[in-house]
Amino acid sequence: MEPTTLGAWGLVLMLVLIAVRVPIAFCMAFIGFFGIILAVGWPAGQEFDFGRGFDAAWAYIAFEPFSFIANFPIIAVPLFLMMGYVAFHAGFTKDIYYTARVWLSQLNGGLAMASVAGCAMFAAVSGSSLATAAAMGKLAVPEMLRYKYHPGIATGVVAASGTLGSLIPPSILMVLYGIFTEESIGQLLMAGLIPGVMSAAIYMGMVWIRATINPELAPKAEHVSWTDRFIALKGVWSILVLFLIVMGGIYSGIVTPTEAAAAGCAGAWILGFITRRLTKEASRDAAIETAKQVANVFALVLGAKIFVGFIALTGVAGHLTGWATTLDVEPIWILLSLSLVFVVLGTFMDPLGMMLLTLPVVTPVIQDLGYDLVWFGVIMVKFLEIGLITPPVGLNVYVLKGVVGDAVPLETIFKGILWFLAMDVLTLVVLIMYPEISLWLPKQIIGS
Amino acid sequence: MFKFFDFIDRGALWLSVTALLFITIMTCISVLGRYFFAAPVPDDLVMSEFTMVIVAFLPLAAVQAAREHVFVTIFSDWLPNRPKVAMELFGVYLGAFIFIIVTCAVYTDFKQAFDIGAYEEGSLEIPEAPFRFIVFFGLLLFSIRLVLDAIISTKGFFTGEAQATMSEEDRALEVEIK
Repeated sequence: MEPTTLGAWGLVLMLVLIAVRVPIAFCMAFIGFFGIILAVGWPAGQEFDFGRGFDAAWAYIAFEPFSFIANFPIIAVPLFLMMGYVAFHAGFTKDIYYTARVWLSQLNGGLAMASVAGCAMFAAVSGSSLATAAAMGKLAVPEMLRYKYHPGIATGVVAASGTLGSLIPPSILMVLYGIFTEESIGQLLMAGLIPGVMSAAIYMGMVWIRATINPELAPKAEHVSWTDRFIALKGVWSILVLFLIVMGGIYSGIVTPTEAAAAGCAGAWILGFITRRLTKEASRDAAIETAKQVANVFALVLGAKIFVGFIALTGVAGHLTGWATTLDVEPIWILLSLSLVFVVLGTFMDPLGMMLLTLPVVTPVIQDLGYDLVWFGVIMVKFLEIGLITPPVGLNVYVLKGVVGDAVPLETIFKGILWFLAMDVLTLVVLIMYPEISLWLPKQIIGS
Repeated sequence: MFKFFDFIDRGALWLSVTALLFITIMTCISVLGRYFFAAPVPDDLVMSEFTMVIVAFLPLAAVQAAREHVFVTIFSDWLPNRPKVAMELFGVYLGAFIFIIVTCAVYTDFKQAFDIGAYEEGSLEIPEAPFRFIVFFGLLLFSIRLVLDAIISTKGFFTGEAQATMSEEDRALEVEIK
C-alpha cells in the first residue's frame, strides 16, 4: 500500500473516531499501532506481511512509553501543573482579579479590563481555557452585569481572555510543543511572554476605547481610594514571586526550565503555607487534581507518541512538504492555509489534543519553508486560542453560556466576542509580520 | 471487587503525588547544591527521570475511573442518551483493546530489562527494571479499569441505566474559584 495513502486514511479515520466520542488518546494509540503494522508490513508494491508489521509495532510500543516519559524536560509539565493548582487552591489567582479590579474599576470598561488580567493569570496557572471561562465567568460576569455592562462585552471579555493563558508562561502547551519539536523549552516559554502580554494589552485597549466612545457599554464602577489601591497590591506579590522564580531562573540561565518548574512548585507550596491559605483540604485538592490532570495529559502524550511513529513511517509530512515547496506561492500563504486547519479544528477540539494531533504533519512543512520553529510555536498557540472562540462553535463560548444560563443569549455572547476575535487577528498579523516580537526575548536568555 | 480497585487506584494516585513532591524537593536541593557548593545530588537527573514514570503512569486508572479523558462531544451532544452511551461504549472497548496490547508489550520490555540487569550509567548505577515494571503496572491498572468500565457500561447500556459522560465543557462548569 502507498504509505502516503495509508497516512491520509489514518488521519480520516482519526477524525471519524474523534467525532463519535472516542477519547483522543485512544484514537491516536489505536490508529498509531495498526498504522505501523500496515506501514511496515505492507510496503508499496509488496505482499502484506502481518508478522513483520506486528513485530515493528510491538517493539515500538514496548519501548517508547518508558523512554519517552523518563525524560528530564518532560518533568516540567507535572511540575508546572502542580504549581498552578497549588496557586489556585491558595487563592492567589483570585487576588490578581481583585487587585486589577481595584486599580482599574474607575476607568471606562475597568471591570472588563480587570477581567482580562484576572483571566490571563488564572489561565496561566490553571492551564485550561475552559476552566478559566467557567470559573471567571461565575466571578466576573455577574459583577459586570450588576454595574450595567452590556451583556455582550461582559461575557465576550471572559470567554476571550480565558485563552490568553496558553501563551503566558508557564504554558503547558509550549512545553509539550518543545518536547515534540525538540526545540528549547526555555526559549519557547520566553517567546510566549511578550505576545501573551501584548494580546492582553490589546484586549484592554480595545475595551477602553469602546467604553470611552460609548460609556453606556461599560460604565465606571465605584471610586476606590489610593490607600485601598495600595492595600490591594499585597494580593499580587505571591504570584509575582512565583513568576520571578520561574522566568527569572530561566532568563538568567541559572536553571533549566524543569528546574525552574520545580523551584516554582516548591515556591507555591511554601507561599501557600506561609500565608496560611493552603488548608489541609486545599492541599489535598491541589495534589489530587494535579495527579489527575497529569494522567490526562500523559494519556494524550502516550497516544500521540504512538501516532507520531505511524505518521513518520508513512511520510505524509514529507509528501506535504514536497508539495508545499513546489507551489509557486509565497511561504506565508502556505502558513495561512495551515492556519485555517487550526482554526477549524479548534472550534471543536481541545487545544492540547489538536496540537499533538497536527504537530507531526505540520512541523516538517513549516521547518522546510524556512520558518523558525520557536516563532511558529507562538503562532500555533495563538491559532489554537482563536479556535476556542471562533463561531459557530467555540468551546469557551458554550462554557460561558452554561455559566450565565438564560441571562444572556448565545448570539449576544458571540456578538460580544467578535471584537476580541478581531483583536486576535490583529495581534496575529503583527506577530507574523514582526517575528522579532516573539524571538527577541528568547535570544536574550543568558547562556543560550 | 470494585471497592478493591477503587482503593488501589486511590493508592496509585497518592503514590504519584508523593513521587512528584519527591522530584520537586530533590531538584531544588540539587540546584541549591550545585549553585552554592558545586555539588548537585548525584544522579539527580536519572532519579528524576525514573521517578517521572511513577508520576505519569500510576494515576491513569483513576482518570479512567472518573471518565475524565479528553474527548470531543460537540458532534454528538444533540443525540439522545442511548446512542451517546453506545458511542462511549465503543470507545471503551477500543481503549481496552489497544491498551491491553500496549500493556503486554511493555511487560516484555520490563522482562528484558530485568533479565539482562539493565541499569543507567552513573555514579549510583540505578537499575531500570523496577521503573519499567512501574510503567507496566500503571498500564495494567489502566487496562483493568477499562475492562471493568466496558463490563459496567455494557450492562448499563442493556438495562438502560447508563448515562453518557459529561462533556469537557460541562466538567469545566463545576470549577469554582477559591
